[in-house]
Amino acid sequence: MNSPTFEHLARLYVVGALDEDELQDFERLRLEGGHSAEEFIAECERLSEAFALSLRPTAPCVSTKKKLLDRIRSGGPASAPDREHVS
Amino acid sequence: MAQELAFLQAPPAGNRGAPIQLGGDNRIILCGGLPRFPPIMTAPMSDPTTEEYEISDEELMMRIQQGQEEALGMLYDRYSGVLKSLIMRVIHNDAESDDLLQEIFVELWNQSGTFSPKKGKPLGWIVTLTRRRAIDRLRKRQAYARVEEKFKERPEQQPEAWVQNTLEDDIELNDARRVLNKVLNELPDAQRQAIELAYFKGMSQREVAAHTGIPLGTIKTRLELGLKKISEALKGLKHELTDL
Repeated sequence: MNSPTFEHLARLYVVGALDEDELQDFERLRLEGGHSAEEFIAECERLSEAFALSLRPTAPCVSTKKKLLDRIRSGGPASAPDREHVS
Repeated sequence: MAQELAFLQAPPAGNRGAPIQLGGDNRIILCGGLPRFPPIMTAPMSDPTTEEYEISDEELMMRIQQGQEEALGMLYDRYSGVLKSLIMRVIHNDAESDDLLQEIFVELWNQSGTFSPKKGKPLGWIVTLTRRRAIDRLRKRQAYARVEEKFKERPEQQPEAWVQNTLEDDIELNDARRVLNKVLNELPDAQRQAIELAYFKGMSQREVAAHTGIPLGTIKTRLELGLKKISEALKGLKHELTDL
Protein backbone atom coordinates (compact mmCIF):
# COMPACT_ATOMS: atom_id res chain seq x y z
CA MET A 1 0.00 0.00 0.00
CA ASN A 2 1.49 3.29 -1.07
CA SER A 3 1.16 6.38 1.06
CA PRO A 4 -0.96 9.29 -0.19
CA THR A 5 2.19 11.40 -0.15
CA PHE A 6 3.98 8.99 -2.43
CA GLU A 7 1.01 8.77 -4.78
CA HIS A 8 0.81 12.54 -4.96
CA LEU A 9 4.53 12.85 -5.68
CA ALA A 10 4.34 10.07 -8.27
CA ARG A 11 1.72 11.93 -10.27
CA LEU A 12 3.85 15.04 -10.17
CA TYR A 13 6.89 13.01 -11.12
CA VAL A 14 5.42 11.70 -14.35
CA VAL A 15 4.52 15.18 -15.51
CA GLY A 16 7.90 16.51 -14.45
CA ALA A 17 6.63 18.96 -11.85
CA LEU A 18 8.76 17.94 -8.88
CA ASP A 19 11.22 20.40 -7.47
CA GLU A 20 14.64 19.08 -6.47
CA ASP A 21 13.86 18.57 -2.80
CA GLU A 22 10.60 16.84 -3.67
CA LEU A 23 12.40 14.64 -6.12
CA GLN A 24 14.67 13.43 -3.35
CA ASP A 25 11.67 12.67 -1.15
CA PHE A 26 10.05 10.87 -4.01
CA GLU A 27 13.09 8.71 -4.72
CA ARG A 28 13.34 7.79 -1.06
CA LEU A 29 9.69 6.78 -0.89
CA ARG A 30 10.05 4.94 -4.16
CA LEU A 31 12.84 2.82 -2.79
CA GLU A 32 10.88 2.13 0.36
CA GLY A 33 7.79 1.22 -1.62
CA GLY A 34 9.50 -1.36 -3.80
CA HIS A 35 7.34 -3.25 -6.27
CA SER A 36 4.14 -1.59 -5.19
CA ALA A 37 5.66 1.83 -5.75
CA GLU A 38 6.91 0.86 -9.20
CA GLU A 39 3.49 -0.42 -10.14
CA PHE A 40 1.90 2.83 -9.13
CA ILE A 41 4.44 4.85 -11.09
CA ALA A 42 3.79 2.74 -14.16
CA GLU A 43 0.10 3.39 -13.71
CA CYS A 44 0.76 7.11 -13.43
CA GLU A 45 2.73 7.04 -16.65
CA ARG A 46 -0.55 6.54 -18.40
CA LEU A 47 -1.25 10.14 -17.49
CA SER A 48 1.74 11.20 -19.51
CA GLU A 49 0.72 8.99 -22.40
CA ALA A 50 -2.80 10.36 -22.28
CA PHE A 51 -1.55 13.92 -22.56
CA ALA A 52 0.56 13.05 -25.56
CA LEU A 53 -2.13 11.00 -27.25
CA SER A 54 -4.70 13.73 -26.80
CA LEU A 55 -2.79 15.87 -29.25
CA ARG A 56 -3.86 15.96 -32.84
CA PRO A 57 -1.08 14.31 -34.86
CA THR A 58 1.07 16.48 -37.06
CA ALA A 59 2.48 14.89 -40.19
CA PRO A 60 6.25 14.98 -40.15
CA CYS A 61 8.27 16.11 -43.13
CA VAL A 62 7.94 13.50 -45.88
CA SER A 63 11.63 12.79 -46.05
CA THR A 64 12.21 12.38 -42.33
CA LYS A 65 11.49 8.68 -42.27
CA LYS A 66 13.75 7.95 -45.20
CA LYS A 67 16.56 9.98 -43.73
CA LEU A 68 16.08 8.31 -40.39
CA LEU A 69 16.37 4.86 -41.93
CA ASP A 70 19.32 5.95 -44.06
CA ARG A 71 20.99 7.19 -40.93
CA ILE A 72 20.34 3.94 -39.10
CA ARG A 73 21.77 1.93 -41.98
CA SER A 74 24.85 4.06 -42.33
CA GLY A 75 25.37 4.52 -38.63
CA GLY A 76 26.20 8.15 -39.30
CA PRO A 77 24.41 11.46 -38.90
CA ALA A 78 21.51 12.26 -41.17
CA SER A 79 21.19 15.50 -43.03
CA ALA A 80 18.54 17.92 -41.90
CA PRO A 81 15.03 17.00 -42.97
CA ASP A 82 13.46 18.69 -45.96
CA ARG A 83 10.71 21.12 -45.35
CA GLU A 84 8.24 19.29 -47.60
CA HIS A 85 5.27 18.18 -45.60
CA VAL A 86 2.63 15.64 -46.26
CA SER A 87 -0.11 18.08 -45.50
CA MET B 1 -2.02 -4.92 -14.72
CA ALA B 2 -0.97 -3.52 -18.00
CA GLN B 3 0.76 -0.21 -17.65
CA GLU B 4 -0.01 1.79 -20.70
CA LEU B 5 -2.62 3.28 -22.83
CA ALA B 6 -1.92 0.41 -25.10
CA PHE B 7 -3.07 -0.12 -28.60
CA LEU B 8 -4.44 -3.30 -29.91
CA GLN B 9 -4.47 -4.11 -33.50
CA ALA B 10 -6.70 -1.79 -35.44
CA PRO B 11 -9.26 -2.80 -37.98
CA PRO B 12 -8.11 -2.87 -41.58
CA ALA B 13 -7.60 0.44 -43.30
CA GLY B 14 -11.11 0.60 -44.71
CA ASN B 15 -12.59 0.34 -41.25
CA ARG B 16 -10.35 2.84 -39.59
CA GLY B 17 -13.10 5.29 -38.83
CA ALA B 18 -15.06 2.93 -36.63
CA PRO B 19 -15.92 3.95 -33.07
CA ILE B 20 -13.73 2.87 -30.23
CA GLN B 21 -14.30 -0.77 -30.60
CA LEU B 22 -12.01 -3.50 -31.55
CA GLY B 23 -12.10 -7.18 -31.94
CA GLY B 24 -14.52 -9.36 -33.83
CA ASP B 25 -17.36 -8.83 -31.42
CA ASN B 26 -17.17 -5.06 -31.76
CA ARG B 27 -16.50 -4.61 -28.07
CA ILE B 28 -13.94 -2.31 -26.60
CA ILE B 29 -11.02 -4.25 -25.39
CA LEU B 30 -9.49 -2.92 -22.25
CA CYS B 31 -5.99 -3.05 -20.96
CA GLY B 32 -5.45 -2.33 -17.31
CA GLY B 33 -7.13 0.87 -16.27
CA LEU B 34 -7.59 2.28 -19.72
CA PRO B 35 -9.38 1.28 -22.87
CA ARG B 36 -7.21 -0.01 -25.63
CA PHE B 37 -7.65 2.31 -28.50
CA PRO B 38 -6.96 1.68 -32.13
CA PRO B 39 -3.66 3.13 -33.26
CA ILE B 40 -3.68 6.80 -34.01
CA MET B 41 -2.16 6.67 -37.45
CA THR B 42 0.05 9.66 -37.37
CA ALA B 43 2.13 9.55 -40.50
CA PRO B 44 0.09 8.83 -43.55
CA MET B 45 3.09 8.43 -45.83
CA SER B 46 2.33 4.78 -46.20
CA ASP B 47 -0.83 2.76 -45.83
CA PRO B 48 -0.21 0.16 -43.18
CA THR B 49 -1.18 -3.37 -44.01
CA THR B 50 -3.38 -5.40 -41.72
CA GLU B 51 -0.33 -7.42 -40.82
CA GLU B 52 1.46 -4.28 -39.67
CA TYR B 53 -1.50 -3.37 -37.47
CA GLU B 54 -1.38 -6.74 -35.83
CA ILE B 55 2.15 -6.36 -34.60
CA SER B 56 2.15 -5.07 -31.04
CA ASP B 57 4.43 -2.32 -29.81
CA GLU B 58 6.20 -4.89 -27.66
CA GLU B 59 6.88 -7.08 -30.67
CA LEU B 60 8.18 -4.08 -32.61
CA MET B 61 10.48 -3.17 -29.74
CA MET B 62 11.79 -6.72 -29.62
CA ARG B 63 12.50 -6.61 -33.34
CA ILE B 64 14.21 -3.25 -32.98
CA GLN B 65 16.38 -4.72 -30.26
CA GLN B 66 17.32 -7.41 -32.76
CA GLY B 67 18.36 -4.73 -35.23
CA GLN B 68 15.42 -4.95 -37.63
CA GLU B 69 15.15 -1.59 -39.36
CA GLU B 70 11.69 -2.32 -40.74
CA ALA B 71 10.38 -2.49 -37.20
CA LEU B 72 11.71 0.97 -36.49
CA GLY B 73 9.97 2.19 -39.64
CA MET B 74 6.70 0.67 -38.50
CA LEU B 75 6.99 2.19 -35.06
CA TYR B 76 7.72 5.50 -36.75
CA ASP B 77 4.61 5.18 -38.90
CA ARG B 78 2.57 4.40 -35.83
CA TYR B 79 3.63 7.24 -33.57
CA SER B 80 5.61 9.89 -35.44
CA GLY B 81 2.59 12.16 -35.90
CA VAL B 82 1.59 12.32 -32.29
CA LEU B 83 5.20 12.54 -31.15
CA LYS B 84 5.79 15.43 -33.51
CA SER B 85 2.75 17.16 -32.03
CA LEU B 86 4.17 16.63 -28.57
CA ILE B 87 7.50 18.11 -29.64
CA MET B 88 5.73 21.01 -31.34
CA ARG B 89 3.83 21.77 -28.17
CA VAL B 90 7.12 22.14 -26.35
CA ILE B 91 9.39 23.92 -28.80
CA HIS B 92 6.93 25.63 -31.18
CA ASN B 93 9.09 25.20 -34.23
CA ASP B 94 8.08 22.98 -37.09
CA ALA B 95 11.48 22.50 -38.72
CA GLU B 96 13.18 21.87 -35.44
CA SER B 97 10.47 19.43 -34.48
CA ASP B 98 11.19 17.27 -37.51
CA ASP B 99 14.86 17.38 -36.72
CA LEU B 100 14.30 16.40 -33.13
CA LEU B 101 11.83 13.68 -34.10
CA GLN B 102 14.56 12.09 -36.19
CA GLU B 103 17.03 12.40 -33.31
CA ILE B 104 14.59 10.75 -30.94
CA PHE B 105 14.03 7.76 -33.20
CA VAL B 106 17.77 7.39 -33.63
CA GLU B 107 18.14 7.43 -29.87
CA LEU B 108 15.31 4.96 -29.56
CA TRP B 109 17.17 2.70 -31.99
CA ASN B 110 20.48 3.09 -30.20
CA GLN B 111 19.03 2.75 -26.71
CA SER B 112 16.51 0.03 -27.47
CA GLY B 113 18.62 -2.44 -25.53
CA THR B 114 17.84 -0.58 -22.34
CA PHE B 115 14.11 -1.00 -22.80
CA SER B 116 12.58 -3.73 -20.72
CA PRO B 117 8.91 -4.69 -20.97
CA LYS B 118 9.07 -5.50 -17.27
CA LYS B 119 9.48 -1.82 -16.47
CA GLY B 120 6.65 -0.59 -18.62
CA LYS B 121 5.18 -0.46 -22.06
CA PRO B 122 6.96 0.88 -25.13
CA LEU B 123 4.61 3.80 -25.60
CA GLY B 124 5.27 5.15 -22.13
CA TRP B 125 8.99 4.85 -22.69
CA ILE B 126 8.79 6.61 -26.04
CA VAL B 127 6.56 9.42 -24.81
CA THR B 128 8.81 10.01 -21.81
CA LEU B 129 11.90 10.07 -24.01
CA THR B 130 10.27 12.44 -26.48
CA ARG B 131 9.04 14.85 -23.86
CA ARG B 132 12.40 14.95 -22.10
CA ARG B 133 14.32 15.54 -25.31
CA ALA B 134 11.93 18.25 -26.39
CA ILE B 135 12.33 20.04 -23.09
CA ASP B 136 16.10 19.60 -23.30
CA ARG B 137 16.02 21.17 -26.74
CA LEU B 138 13.87 24.02 -25.53
CA ARG B 139 16.37 24.84 -22.83
CA LYS B 140 19.45 24.27 -24.96
CA ARG B 141 18.56 26.72 -27.64
CA GLN B 142 18.07 29.38 -25.00
CA ALA B 143 14.92 30.60 -26.59
CA TYR B 144 12.83 29.83 -23.61
CA ALA B 145 11.97 33.43 -22.91
CA ARG B 146 10.86 33.98 -26.47
CA VAL B 147 8.71 30.89 -26.51
CA GLU B 148 7.32 31.88 -23.18
CA GLU B 149 6.32 35.23 -24.60
CA LYS B 150 4.70 33.52 -27.53
CA PHE B 151 2.87 31.30 -25.11
CA LYS B 152 1.69 34.31 -23.15
CA GLU B 153 0.49 36.01 -26.28
CA ARG B 154 -1.85 33.20 -27.09
CA PRO B 155 -3.71 32.54 -23.85
CA GLU B 156 -6.85 31.75 -25.75
CA GLN B 157 -5.12 28.70 -27.15
CA GLN B 158 -4.15 27.24 -23.81
CA PRO B 159 -4.07 24.35 -23.84
CA GLU B 160 -3.98 24.34 -27.61
CA ALA B 161 -4.95 20.89 -28.64
CA TRP B 162 -7.10 20.17 -25.65
CA VAL B 163 -9.68 22.83 -26.33
CA GLN B 164 -9.92 22.88 -30.10
CA ASN B 165 -13.41 21.69 -30.62
CA THR B 166 -14.41 23.05 -33.97
CA LEU B 167 -16.48 20.83 -36.17
CA GLU B 168 -13.52 20.24 -38.43
CA ASP B 169 -11.39 19.17 -35.53
CA ASP B 170 -14.08 16.88 -34.28
CA ILE B 171 -14.13 15.17 -37.60
CA GLU B 172 -10.40 14.88 -37.70
CA LEU B 173 -10.07 13.63 -34.17
CA ASN B 174 -10.30 9.93 -34.01
CA ASP B 175 -12.32 8.37 -31.27
CA ALA B 176 -9.45 7.68 -28.96
CA ARG B 177 -8.32 11.26 -28.91
CA ARG B 178 -11.87 12.47 -28.59
CA VAL B 179 -12.34 10.48 -25.41
CA LEU B 180 -9.02 11.64 -24.01
CA ASN B 181 -9.77 15.25 -24.88
CA LYS B 182 -13.13 15.01 -23.17
CA VAL B 183 -11.42 14.00 -19.97
CA LEU B 184 -8.84 16.75 -20.23
CA ASN B 185 -11.30 19.43 -21.24
CA GLU B 186 -13.42 18.79 -18.20
CA LEU B 187 -10.64 20.11 -15.99
CA PRO B 188 -11.01 23.63 -14.65
CA ASP B 189 -8.84 26.04 -16.65
CA ALA B 190 -6.60 26.86 -13.70
CA GLN B 191 -5.77 23.21 -13.08
CA ARG B 192 -5.27 22.51 -16.75
CA GLN B 193 -2.94 25.45 -17.15
CA ALA B 194 -0.79 24.32 -14.23
CA ILE B 195 -0.53 20.83 -15.71
CA GLU B 196 0.23 22.27 -19.12
CA LEU B 197 3.10 24.34 -17.86
CA ALA B 198 4.58 21.37 -16.06
CA TYR B 199 4.11 18.82 -18.80
CA PHE B 200 4.68 20.80 -21.96
CA LYS B 201 7.06 23.43 -20.63
CA GLY B 202 9.01 21.27 -18.23
CA MET B 203 8.35 23.55 -15.29
CA SER B 204 8.53 22.41 -11.70
CA GLN B 205 5.88 23.51 -9.24
CA ARG B 206 8.01 26.43 -8.11
CA GLU B 207 8.66 27.47 -11.69
CA VAL B 208 4.97 27.33 -12.46
CA ALA B 209 4.31 29.52 -9.44
CA ALA B 210 6.99 31.98 -10.50
CA HIS B 211 5.79 32.01 -14.09
CA THR B 212 2.17 32.62 -13.22
CA GLY B 213 2.68 34.77 -10.14
CA ILE B 214 0.36 32.48 -8.24
CA PRO B 215 1.33 31.29 -4.74
CA LEU B 216 3.20 27.99 -4.66
CA GLY B 217 0.63 26.45 -2.34
CA THR B 218 -2.14 27.23 -4.81
CA ILE B 219 -0.17 25.73 -7.68
CA LYS B 220 0.48 22.59 -5.67
CA THR B 221 -3.19 22.25 -4.93
CA ARG B 222 -4.15 22.81 -8.55
CA LEU B 223 -1.70 20.22 -9.79
CA GLU B 224 -2.70 17.71 -7.17
CA LEU B 225 -6.40 18.10 -7.82
CA GLY B 226 -6.01 18.18 -11.59
CA LEU B 227 -3.80 15.14 -11.87
CA LYS B 228 -5.88 13.14 -9.43
CA LYS B 229 -8.99 14.03 -11.34
CA ILE B 230 -7.52 12.88 -14.64
CA SER B 231 -6.26 9.66 -13.08
CA GLU B 232 -9.67 8.91 -11.68
CA ALA B 233 -11.38 9.81 -14.92
CA LEU B 234 -9.15 7.52 -16.90
CA LYS B 235 -9.86 4.71 -14.48
CA GLY B 236 -13.57 5.39 -14.63
CA LEU B 237 -13.45 5.41 -18.37
CA LYS B 238 -12.73 1.71 -18.33
CA HIS B 239 -16.02 0.91 -16.67
CA GLU B 240 -17.99 3.34 -18.78
CA LEU B 241 -16.68 1.90 -22.00
CA THR B 242 -16.97 -1.70 -20.90
CA ASP B 243 -20.72 -1.33 -20.87
CA LEU B 244 -20.97 -0.29 -24.50
